[in-house]
Amino acid sequence: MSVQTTIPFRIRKKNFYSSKDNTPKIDFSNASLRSTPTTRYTPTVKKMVDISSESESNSDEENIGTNNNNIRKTPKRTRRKSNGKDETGSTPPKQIKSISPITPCNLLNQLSLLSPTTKQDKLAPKKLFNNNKYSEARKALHGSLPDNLIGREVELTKLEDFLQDHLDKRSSSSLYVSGLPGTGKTASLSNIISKSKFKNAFKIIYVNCTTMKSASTIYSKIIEELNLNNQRPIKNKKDTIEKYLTQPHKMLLLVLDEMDQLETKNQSVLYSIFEWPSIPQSKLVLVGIANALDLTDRILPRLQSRCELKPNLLHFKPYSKQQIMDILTQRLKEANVLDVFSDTAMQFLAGKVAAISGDIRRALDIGRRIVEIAESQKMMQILQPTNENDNIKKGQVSDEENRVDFKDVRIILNRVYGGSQNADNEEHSFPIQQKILLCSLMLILNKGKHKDINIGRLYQVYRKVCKPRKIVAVDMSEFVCLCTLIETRGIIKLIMKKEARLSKVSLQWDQEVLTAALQDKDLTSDIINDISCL
Amino acid sequence: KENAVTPNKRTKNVLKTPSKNLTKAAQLSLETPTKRLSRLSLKNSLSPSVHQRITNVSKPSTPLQEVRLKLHVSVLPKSLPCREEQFNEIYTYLHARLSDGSGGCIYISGVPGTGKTATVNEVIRCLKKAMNREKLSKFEFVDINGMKLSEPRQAYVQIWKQLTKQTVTWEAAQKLLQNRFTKPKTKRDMTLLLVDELDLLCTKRQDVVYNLLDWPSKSGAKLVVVTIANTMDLPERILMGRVTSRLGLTRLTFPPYTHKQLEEIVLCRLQGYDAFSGETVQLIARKVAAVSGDARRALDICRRSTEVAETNGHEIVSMVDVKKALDEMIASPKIQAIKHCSDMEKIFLRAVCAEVHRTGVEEVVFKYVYFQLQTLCTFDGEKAPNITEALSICARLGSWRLLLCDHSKMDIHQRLLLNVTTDDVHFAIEH
Repeated sequence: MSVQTTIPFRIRKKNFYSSKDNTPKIDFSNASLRSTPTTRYTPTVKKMVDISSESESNSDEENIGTNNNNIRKTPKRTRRKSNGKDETGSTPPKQIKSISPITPCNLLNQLSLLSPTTKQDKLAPKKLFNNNKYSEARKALHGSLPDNLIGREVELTKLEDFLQDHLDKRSSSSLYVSGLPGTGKTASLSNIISKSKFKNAFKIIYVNCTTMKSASTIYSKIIEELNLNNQRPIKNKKDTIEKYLTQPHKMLLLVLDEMDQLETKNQSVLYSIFEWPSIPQSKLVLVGIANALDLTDRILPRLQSRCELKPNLLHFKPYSKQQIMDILTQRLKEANVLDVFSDTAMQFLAGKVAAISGDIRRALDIGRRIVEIAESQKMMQILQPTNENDNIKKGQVSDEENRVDFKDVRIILNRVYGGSQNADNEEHSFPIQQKILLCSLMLILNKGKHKDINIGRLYQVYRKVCKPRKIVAVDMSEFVCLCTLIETRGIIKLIMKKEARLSKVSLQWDQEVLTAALQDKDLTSDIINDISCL
Repeated sequence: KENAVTPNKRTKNVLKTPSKNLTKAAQLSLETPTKRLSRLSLKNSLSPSVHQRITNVSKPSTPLQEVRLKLHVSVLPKSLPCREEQFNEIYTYLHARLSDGSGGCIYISGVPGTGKTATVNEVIRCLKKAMNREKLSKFEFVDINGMKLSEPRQAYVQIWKQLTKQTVTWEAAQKLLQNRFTKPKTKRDMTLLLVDELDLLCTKRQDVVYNLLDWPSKSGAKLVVVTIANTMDLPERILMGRVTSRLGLTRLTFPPYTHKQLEEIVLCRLQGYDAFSGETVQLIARKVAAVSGDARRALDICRRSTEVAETNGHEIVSMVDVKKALDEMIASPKIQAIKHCSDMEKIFLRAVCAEVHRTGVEEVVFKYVYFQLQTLCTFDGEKAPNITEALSICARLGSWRLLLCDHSKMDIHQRLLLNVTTDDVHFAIEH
């Protein structure tokens, strides 16, 4: 009540007549507490009364002789305003809104999440989803670089020891970090780099080699990072860097991400970079990152001959099942939404990803995808029953707590890892001509003498297949189009020649998978056994 | 060296002074082409325009003409029929990403004419509408098309141009974009990048694709990338392992339209007009769905059949018109070409067929074809052409692409290949 009395004072200063508003407002709030819908009608009546009383008050306060026009005008303005407000009926809901944080509805909401009142649901059904756990989980599973790396403790300590060692000795060396995509190489490196003790001790240059125009641009990039270009344009960039390295300088840490992009014909760039640490007085620690395990041996064999040039190797193994589990649980725990995933679902997901690639990006991606799909499914589930019978269904949904189930994970994984071959649900829309084309291809492969097939020969067989089946065969040019259309599905591969007729066709899928995908057993078996068409 | 510097300075000063003295209006009038170019490229003050027509475009008068306008491929319907599922999937995905403020990639594939780009554009339009109604946080939209770029690296220039309206070289653009997306800045809006025809951005080094897909994974980037291509297994087929890993597994495939869907699409456009009688639309839909399931093609055939109906003087499109349009579309010109060949050319083609039949190999040598030609001529009682004439006949058929020939300098040893089936040749010559 005290709050309500203070607010009207402000309003009173603005327009005079709100002084009488005090009383209706109190009524009003009471009414809203009672939560009767009829309250909306009351203010209009009362304000009409106010206005009449107000003009009196104005005349009372001001001197009559000053200026009549003003007196006449002001009430008009105020009247208009007040009328407008009343007619639209906007004021009463406003008041309700301002009070809403304390309203019983909201209090009820806070008390029991299980059964929010029906009225709230109808007003704002979206709020239920916006602040639920799904979006939190989705955010938690984002693929950007995390702060702490789980499952990479060994590698991190190795890296740290390596850097610390050379920092203490002030000696230079090189390191080659390898590993499959998504095993946390860049993440570990950037984690180490961001540590303050290295940040201060080293001058750090981080270069992602994919941003280079060509291999030799790396020099100018390094010069730029070293701030050596304050003089005139440098002609021999490599020499300048080497000159800098021989001069006394701070310890230098050069990180080359995606190093295999620097490959050239005679590998001069890579060789010269890997030779820098061996320059006397240079204090350079070089770290190269790439996917290939044996990049340094394969493309830089000359480094093997001199021991001081040979880079140290560090391999990042693909994540194991347990590590993926740990990472996922940690991420979800930090966001406090661990209960979105059930334990079996998580185990299944981690096991699958670890068995196939051990790529953490993949695991996070699938995890996020599962959450997304589960969310959309649950949203549909919730949205429908609210119209019919609210309480029962709502209770069920919240009881389950919308956990991602083993089943959901399996569906998604099948869709993902089944790849293009397992897309069962859409194959029913295979155009018939494409079916016949594929069947004739299989016929040639199974029963024909020559297994190398070009489009001309395939077309001939196709024509013969079409004839007894009373199907209009397409033209040759159209046929080539058909072949390219099928190629986009990845079923066949075309090796294009100068003449379309001579381009080679080869089947990429297994025949059993293909027959399953065609979903037309009668037609396929009929055509495949029809030797007369050959 | 100092000597070399000073004269330069002087000359510059001397060159500058007259322009300073000029009034502003005079300066403008003296605008050189380079100045204009710099204005165009840097400040973007001039927007490109096209010459306008002198007369107004006449409005369609007959219902058939109106229908033809409606059926044009460029006319996008308000809601795309038969693509609701895909629309929902893309919409929920993008909406979630934009409202979360986290980046991501999605890969959309499907054969041409299945509504990929149309659906994505529709989704983006809806998202923009939501943004304008302030139901969604603000985002910037950038779209590039691999086909419209002369070189993959021009993508950087295009993206930067759409973000800031500045045209810079690709190196500079790449550096600026790299800065923009890797330096974390909390205030920036989300960016939505649509990459159409992704497979054309793949070079040997794949640095452009790598960068485009690497930025979303940066924590400060706030970038969502939607990529569209035809090939279903493009990531596995062409892209490198590390690019595939970044592309992720959020993939969506647009299946070709079935005949029912094609029918619905056409009927949806024809709402309010009964220009097509009965089952004509169904016939077109079935014909197209049997071959490719391409909506563009179905619409084109519909348009063509309205034109045919108009020339035939029909009020509404009948089965006959549709049949004619279909024949035109799917007609093979080769049989027509063979029918109109001269007699000796026909005999030459028959000779090639006979030689193919004799050897059992597709590829035949001109020398033996000539022997066959001589025999056929004696059978027909005609005088056989000499070798030079036969070679010129061969060259003419080769330029029509009825035959595929080697170099003509090989003379009588050149190898020939029939570019039509032997059945076609017999069919055309007998009838």
